[in-house]
Amino acid sequence: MSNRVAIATVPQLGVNDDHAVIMAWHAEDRALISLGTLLCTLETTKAVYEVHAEESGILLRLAPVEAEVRVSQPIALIGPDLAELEVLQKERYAPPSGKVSEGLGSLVLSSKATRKAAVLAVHLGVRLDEINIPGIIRERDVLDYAARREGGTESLDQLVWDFSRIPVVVYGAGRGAVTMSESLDLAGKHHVACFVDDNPQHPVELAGRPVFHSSKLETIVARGVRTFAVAISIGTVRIGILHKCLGLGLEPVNVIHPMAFVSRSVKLGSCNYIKAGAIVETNTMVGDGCLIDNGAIVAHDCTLEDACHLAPGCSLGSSVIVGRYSIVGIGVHVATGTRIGAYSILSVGAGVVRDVPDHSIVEGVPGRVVGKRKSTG
Amino acid sequence: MRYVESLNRSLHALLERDERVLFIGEDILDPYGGAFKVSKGLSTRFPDRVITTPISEAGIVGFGSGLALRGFRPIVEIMFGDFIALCADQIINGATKFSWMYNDQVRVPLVIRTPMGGRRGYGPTHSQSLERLFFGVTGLTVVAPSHMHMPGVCLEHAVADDRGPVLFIENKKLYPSHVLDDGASMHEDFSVRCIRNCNAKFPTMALTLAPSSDPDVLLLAYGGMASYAIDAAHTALMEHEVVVEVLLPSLVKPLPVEDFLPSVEKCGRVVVCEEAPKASGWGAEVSACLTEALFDRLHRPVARVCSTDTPIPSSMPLEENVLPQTADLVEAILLQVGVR
Repeated sequence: MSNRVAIATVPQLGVNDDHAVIMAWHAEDRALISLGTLLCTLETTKAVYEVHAEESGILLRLAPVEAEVRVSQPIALIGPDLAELEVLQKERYAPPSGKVSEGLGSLVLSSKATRKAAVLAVHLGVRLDEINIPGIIRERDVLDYAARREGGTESLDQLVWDFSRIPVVVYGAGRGAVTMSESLDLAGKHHVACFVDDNPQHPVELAGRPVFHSSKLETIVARGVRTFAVAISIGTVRIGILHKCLGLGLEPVNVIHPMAFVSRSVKLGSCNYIKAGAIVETNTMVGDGCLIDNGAIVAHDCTLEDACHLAPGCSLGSSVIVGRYSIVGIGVHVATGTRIGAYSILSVGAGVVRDVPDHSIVEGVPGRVVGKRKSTG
Repeated sequence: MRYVESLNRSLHALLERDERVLFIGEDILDPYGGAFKVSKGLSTRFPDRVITTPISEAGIVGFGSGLALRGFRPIVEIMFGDFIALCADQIINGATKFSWMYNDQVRVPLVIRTPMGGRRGYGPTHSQSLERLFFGVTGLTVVAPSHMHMPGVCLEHAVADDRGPVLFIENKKLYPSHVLDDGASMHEDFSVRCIRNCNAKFPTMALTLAPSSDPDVLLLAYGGMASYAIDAAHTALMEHEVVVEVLLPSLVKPLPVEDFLPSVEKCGRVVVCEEAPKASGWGAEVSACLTEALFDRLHRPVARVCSTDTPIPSSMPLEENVLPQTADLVEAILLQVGVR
């Protein structure tokens, strides 16, 4: 072993070559090697070249694999003393400074979590290493963990949501509310943060979200949930809650399932719910708080007044008017141009060919008024 | 083990096991051992069966065809895939037609190996991926293993193919890359599975970072584009929470469609990439086959990410603009799921 330090450099192999790429290192870094040891292979245009040690000694690599190096550039040091080689490396052969580190305050980017998960974890005060799941941690894993962490039922610390979407509180915690939350989540813009219900015996949890008593609504608003939807089947109650929420400063949202077809020229009021398979054609006008159920067909130029409910599979011809708080039952057919009064009920399967007065109950094909309906209910 | 080592080991094994196997090409003798060192050590061990040739690519393939017709198992090397244009007649009108023209009285079990691909600044005539020109040649099999396959094993299968000829495409940028171990089920954070619906000898590898979720998008690639596809899938999940399943066939022609169908059926969104221009390329074939098989299950047309329709520049920054990069794949993935 010589006392001096030998520098291995990139040779000039082809006349036109001014650079090469280090394909692979074959000698171990910081290890003792002997004269003639194969150090690395370099690739230039048209050729692969082997670099051998011209001295014995300890090897210190100066460039990594895949590095593009210039002809005559030093790529390794060989000498008797590793410490001396390292000093030389730092002083004369230091590689260009590394990437600027990611800075987002306390955000720690890890290879085990997506960026969105890391951001959400910061918001929720969750440490990523506390989450024990196989594979890469995603946002929903952080949400699940945060939701389960608290445990208590009425604690509003459970109130978390996907921070890239608009949080929504759904008023009503029945089975219909589950369907509504699925529609909202599917559309992708909103995220159901929680449900509220008037019933003190409400369930603790629904569709993976917490359920609170409706008295907590103001606190929920204060926590940042500014949008609401109403999942109540009774029209009058629905409208009442609509006004209550508006009074609290909440914004209503029209819930439209991605697989409903609503023509662009349709005018919608607020707080309507249009479910999968429904069709609402051109220039139809819809008021507030309507429920258009699965597979309901509303032809063009119809008018649906506030709080009417079109049950699954019913069909309205064009230019039909449905009065407020009316219920069009499952599979009902309504002929073109018919006017349905307010507070009416069209029973399952009825075939309506003539105008229906207010407060009427209609049955059969052709539809006949068989009774009167009370205003409330 | 690196890609080049896998090939080298298999070549040694092939020549050792079968006297009929010959290795033919330019500059392949030791100590040089070939332009990319794939044949290192072969001429020392098997001096009678490693033949160095003049610079005549047509001659090399013609010579190989003749030897194959006469019962040998020649492996010929074309030093740079760009030169395959010089072999075109020998391949198209010779090697792939003889068994048909002579009513199967003869076979041509010839393997033509060649490195393709750019990203080294080698310029327009040393950086191309010209295998696409041969996709329309009847009777030719095209194999292009990535570093997620075992290239040496693929080569052994290609040589054992009685029918032949096989065009065996290596990617020069992949030569130093580590290949997946035999039977490995993980690659970094990716779960890996091996699909052999179509052809047991030349499998398709499927990689995903989220094996418990159905993928949002499928990304199909082969050869040198494999590492870009894997990086794009990683970025798609880490930055955008889009789950991408990467499908990497080793058999490129005929297209192993059955390997892709189960995934396409579940997912309905497909991006295909290739290191070559778009028109009438690999992506076009994949798109047509998937559309024919699963039109109703596709949510959107199959997207293709390809090179620009220009020669490949010598200047490396310009080359970067021409060839597809990871960012281009990520963009196509996001468009396909509708995030963009």
